[in-house]
Amino acid sequence: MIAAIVAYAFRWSIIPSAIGELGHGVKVTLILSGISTVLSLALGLVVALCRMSGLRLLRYGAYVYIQVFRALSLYIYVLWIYFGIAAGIGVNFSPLTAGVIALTVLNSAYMAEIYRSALDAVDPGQREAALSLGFGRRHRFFTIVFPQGFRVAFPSLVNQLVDIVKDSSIIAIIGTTDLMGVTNQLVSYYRAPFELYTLVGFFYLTIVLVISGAAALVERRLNRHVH
Amino acid sequence: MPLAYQINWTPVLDHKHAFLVGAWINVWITLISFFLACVLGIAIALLRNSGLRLLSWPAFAYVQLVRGVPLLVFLYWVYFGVAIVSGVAFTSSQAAIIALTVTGSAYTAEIFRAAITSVDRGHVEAATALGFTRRASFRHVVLPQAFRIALPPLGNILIGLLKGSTLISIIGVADMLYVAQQINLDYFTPFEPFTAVAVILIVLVAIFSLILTGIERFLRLP
Amino acid sequence: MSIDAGPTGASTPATYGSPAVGNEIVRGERLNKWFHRGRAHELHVLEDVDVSVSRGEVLVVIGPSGSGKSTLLRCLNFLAPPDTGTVTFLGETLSAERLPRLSIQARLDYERRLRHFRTQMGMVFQHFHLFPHMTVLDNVAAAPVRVLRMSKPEARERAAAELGRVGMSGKTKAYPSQLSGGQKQRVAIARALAMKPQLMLFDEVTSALDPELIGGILDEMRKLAESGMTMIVVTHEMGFAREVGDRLVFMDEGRIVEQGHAREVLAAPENPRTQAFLRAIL
Repeated sequence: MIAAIVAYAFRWSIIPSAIGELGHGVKVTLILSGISTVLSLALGLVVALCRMSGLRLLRYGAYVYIQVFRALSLYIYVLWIYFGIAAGIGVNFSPLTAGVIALTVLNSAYMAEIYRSALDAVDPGQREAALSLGFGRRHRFFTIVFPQGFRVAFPSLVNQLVDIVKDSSIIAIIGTTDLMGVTNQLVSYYRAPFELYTLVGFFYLTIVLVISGAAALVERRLNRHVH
Repeated sequence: MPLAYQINWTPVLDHKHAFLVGAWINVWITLISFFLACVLGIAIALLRNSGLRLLSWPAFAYVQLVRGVPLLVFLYWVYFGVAIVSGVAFTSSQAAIIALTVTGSAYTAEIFRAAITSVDRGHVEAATALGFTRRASFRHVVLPQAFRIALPPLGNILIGLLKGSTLISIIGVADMLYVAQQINLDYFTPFEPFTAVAVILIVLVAIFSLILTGIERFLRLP
Repeated sequence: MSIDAGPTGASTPATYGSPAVGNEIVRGERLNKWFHRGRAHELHVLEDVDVSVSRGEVLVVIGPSGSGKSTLLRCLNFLAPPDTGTVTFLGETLSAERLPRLSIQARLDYERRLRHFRTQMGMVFQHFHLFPHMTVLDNVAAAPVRVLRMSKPEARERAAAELGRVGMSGKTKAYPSQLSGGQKQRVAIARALAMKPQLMLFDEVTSALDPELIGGILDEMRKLAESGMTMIVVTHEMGFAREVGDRLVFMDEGRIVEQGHAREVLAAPENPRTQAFLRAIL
């Protein structure tokens, strides 16, 4: 095996031309991930609030929602939406739309769990203090509890964002415009799978490292005065 | 919304045996990968904790690298890339196991590292005082406790690998998703097979979770 | 106008110059509270407690831990709604007894009246509970802005005034994490006072402080009492109880065991349990 590796004619020279194309793919991936993250942050918050609500129906509904979607894999869900639901309701989703829907719904379940444990972690004394001052439920949540809970949740939410970026690569199976999809096209064109997949691996790695680094800076600023 | 599409479960039900066989493939590939990922993870965790920069830094880099790359990329990289370069023709299953193992090992390595570091130093000192060698005290004192600490997060990784295993049909493994796709191609019924696979996956995850909770409870220190 | 305690306690007839009912600010009647009600480890924390405070009066509540003192405070402002009984405050009566069975409309009405209660009652906690993500000034101004719907500049002015009153003018832009315990408690007091309440509740507010800081807080409380504020103070500081307290209540195991004029009870307690407690801590 080692002999074969040594003898193989690596074609690293294609990389410069490939990078341009991959750049377009990066843009699509980032937009796809960004939109899905924002939507799932919002949807996840709604689900988390249902999970903690006083109405039993909402509580159980949210619980089931979370368990079901945390058990699914994105790939299955994407296929289900792109082929199954599309046929079922007679709509033709574009691959990106199906991707956004799948990523949003699936990750909202994880976000909901993250929110829930973060909000639980906020000191109960804060609630008492707010109540004793006469804060109503909505003000109590948005002014006192949520700002603190968000700081606790932030690292986990960033992890989720990283997962979304990585999982978005699954769109390549049904479409060709994201980073992975572009790579597959280039592979069939240049017939250099090793070089190209190695390259795209580093692309994803870079994106992840940049996001993590930026998040660390934001986290430090968020927690400047809070400990 | 009126369904122009008629839901027809017959093709799925006719092939339920095929689905179960496919699901079984997902399960055993997951289990093998998990086991290998744990072994590899322990090794990497030991390197990280070794204190020697020469050993710990590559281990750190490995973890960061693997965690930054999607599973799909690994699948393609192993099955197409490495295969062509090294001349070794991996079967789909082999490539799948390799990719899942590598991905899983980055996470298990972190889990073991944290678990090992969190075992009380006092226990190790007591063992040394009693005459245990370093290797023996690790094997008999640290490792068992580290396992107990690591178990819950490892359970999550196992379930994560189960979900990851749903990708293996992409490189040609005949798992349950492959069966679903075949049915869709043969019978033009896109909705039912994928729903069936989704349901099977949810049930599998639920079963795994129950077993894991049971194990955790069984191993709880008195 | 104190009402008698339960059957086990010695009942002290109201001899201290009790004003007429019209001067009574708050009254709790037949208050009962259970934790884990209906379960095996059920705890009867408050047992048939009746309490009343007149305008301008300082009521001190003492007793061993677990006697229900903090729970009593929390029942009065419904942080821990009493399972039975009513609280009458400024003429309005509120009860949590039928809460689970109220319609949505009735519930909203209950909560509205409750919020009104709470805006007129201020509470200071043992562990301060300042909002860590806000500056000192914003901590004090937050409730006036959100609850009283004051404009921000107006609220900040009021906050600055209250902070000045407790000696914290220099720290308005600081964050709670940068303050000492005593400073945090001063801010907490200012925060409660900013709502201009008619009744202040103090829950062991010096118990979490370093000894050298306790005196400062007790001074602030004394100033407040001298300015005519009605206060209910749960504390272990007997010196404060003797000098600033008007009436004193001794609680044990969820019941009021003895009550009366603060100096009298502390000097010559009638009930043996009170005697034992005071002997142990004085």
